[in-house]
Amino acid sequence: MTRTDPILSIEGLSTSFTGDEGTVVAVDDVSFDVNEGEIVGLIGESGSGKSVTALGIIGLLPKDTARVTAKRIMFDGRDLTQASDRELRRLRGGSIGMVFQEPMSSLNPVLKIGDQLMEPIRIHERISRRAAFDRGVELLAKVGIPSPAQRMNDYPHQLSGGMRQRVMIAIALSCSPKLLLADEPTTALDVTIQAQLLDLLLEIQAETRMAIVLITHSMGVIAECADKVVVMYSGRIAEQGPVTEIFDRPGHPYTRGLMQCTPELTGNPRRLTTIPGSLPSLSALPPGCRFAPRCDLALDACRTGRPPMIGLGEKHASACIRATELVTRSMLPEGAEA
Amino acid sequence: MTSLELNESPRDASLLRRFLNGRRVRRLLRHRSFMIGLWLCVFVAAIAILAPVISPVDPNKMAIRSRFQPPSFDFLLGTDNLGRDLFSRVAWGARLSLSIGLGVVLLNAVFGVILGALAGYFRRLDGILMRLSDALMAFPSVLLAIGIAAAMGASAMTAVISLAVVYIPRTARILRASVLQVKELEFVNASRAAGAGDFHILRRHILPNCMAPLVVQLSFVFAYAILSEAVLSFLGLGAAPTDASWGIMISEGRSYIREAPWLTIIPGMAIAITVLGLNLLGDGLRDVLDPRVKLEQS
Repeated sequence: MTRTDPILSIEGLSTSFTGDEGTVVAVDDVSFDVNEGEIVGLIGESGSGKSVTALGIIGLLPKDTARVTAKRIMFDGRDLTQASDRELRRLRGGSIGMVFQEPMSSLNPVLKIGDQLMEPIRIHERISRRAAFDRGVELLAKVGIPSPAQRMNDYPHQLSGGMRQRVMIAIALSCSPKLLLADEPTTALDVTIQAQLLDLLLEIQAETRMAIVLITHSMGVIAECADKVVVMYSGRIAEQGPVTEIFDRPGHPYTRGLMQCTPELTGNPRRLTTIPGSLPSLSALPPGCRFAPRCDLALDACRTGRPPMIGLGEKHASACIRATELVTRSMLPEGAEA
Repeated sequence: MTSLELNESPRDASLLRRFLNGRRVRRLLRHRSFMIGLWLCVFVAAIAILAPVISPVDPNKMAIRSRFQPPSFDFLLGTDNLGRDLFSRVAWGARLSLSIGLGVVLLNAVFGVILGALAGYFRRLDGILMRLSDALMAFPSVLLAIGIAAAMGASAMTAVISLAVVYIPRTARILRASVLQVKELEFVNASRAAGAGDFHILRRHILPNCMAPLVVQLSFVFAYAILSEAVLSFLGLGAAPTDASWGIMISEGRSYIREAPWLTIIPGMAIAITVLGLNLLGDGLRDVLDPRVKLEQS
């Protein structure tokens, strides 16, 4: 593997669920790369397929209802689509760590923090309990938990939400992963704690140079942390590119919409706009561009055929047929023009 | 690291005190019917354990001269048609009943947990295992126990096995239901994301979170098993006729119910007290451990 190869490269990932109401496609032909030491923000509304994408990568979706297909999912030189259950299990918690959204329910209430922290270490490495305990204490110290050795013997209910999420991060980091999948790690926490945890993640990332896929629905989080953004809408990628590009020259009406829903601290205060309507139901998707029914720039052509990814610059692409127009003319939705 | 030494000391010293101070344990200790049940069970268990010490004579020693003695100072609970001392027989009967009950509970705990856990966790096994348990549960429970006991020949061991077969599907169902619930919780997914395998997850994460309903269920199984054992013995399908069993005592005393009513009343009361104690205990456990009951109360 050469230096320039991405650590994770996903090509044509699709996921469908079969339930009582037939089969729905939750993730449709998603492709993106994550380079070593890079933070990729995966953003979209609830139900846009962000989490399903992440879970699909490491084979954590229920096998009896979900079907994951992909041309290739290359991780660290290995194709995960060809990997056996055993191999995937070795990667999970080893080279790929994962942090979940709900710190309240992500820890087992009947086990001590220490036991849960030592679990992945003991699964992946043949070391003694004593050594695993010491590693656990180190990890807790690293994620900023005071008196870590005592906390090892605490039960989850003795810790606050922010502390628990720190523990979850420690668990995900326990085997020095090369890739961290963080599924809305701060959504369930209050704002001050959110910022602390993001800082912690950034700090650890800077130190270890691991790659992070950061799933979020907050543009603010993306702006603060990510190097690259993948905007998802209704199971498809709407736009992806470097974070500065996306913020300076958004090439998809949905990305614009997301940015206008986010308040700014600098500049003139303005009325926040909302995107009218809601995500289409996965069992009744509109033909053509899935954002078209909510898009005020939609043309007739948008309602037929899937919009292709249009390149807007180096590594910046948008699935909107008017992308070039949007970027060059800086066209804003009506009324928003200054 | 200095902080390491700090955390060692408070660990083992006061384990009992910490247990008694636990939220649930404190609630149990304040629960009136649980405490009554507990004392009844302790009382019966003490009699069973101390049977050889406290019974005045061998429970099977016949004394034709003192047949049908009503309860008196000489014979605390009277004597039966063969002049055997009823107090001794009831005490030894407690041993038999509790051992059979305990045997059924242990078999339930082992097989009910294994089958319930597999059915709840692995969808493929669920269909087969649950249809099997449906089939077993379709029989009236006592009838099924009688059938199995009759087929295997009467003995205490037969009683244990047949009653276990009757109650294991019920226990398995209860465990399956809790496994189904717990396996959807986020920490199960988190553990899978940490690379844990299915059996590790079941053993370490799911089962410990399913213990409350299991404990409640087992306390009821204990009570039913004792009751059903008495029924089986009464019908001659449980303990050997020479054993001192409450069911056999009632069955034998039945012929003399007019002349010597204590022959049936006393073992009957022994059964009633034991079953009442276990049921009160189980109710108390359920009140404290089962979250659904708490919701209904509030």
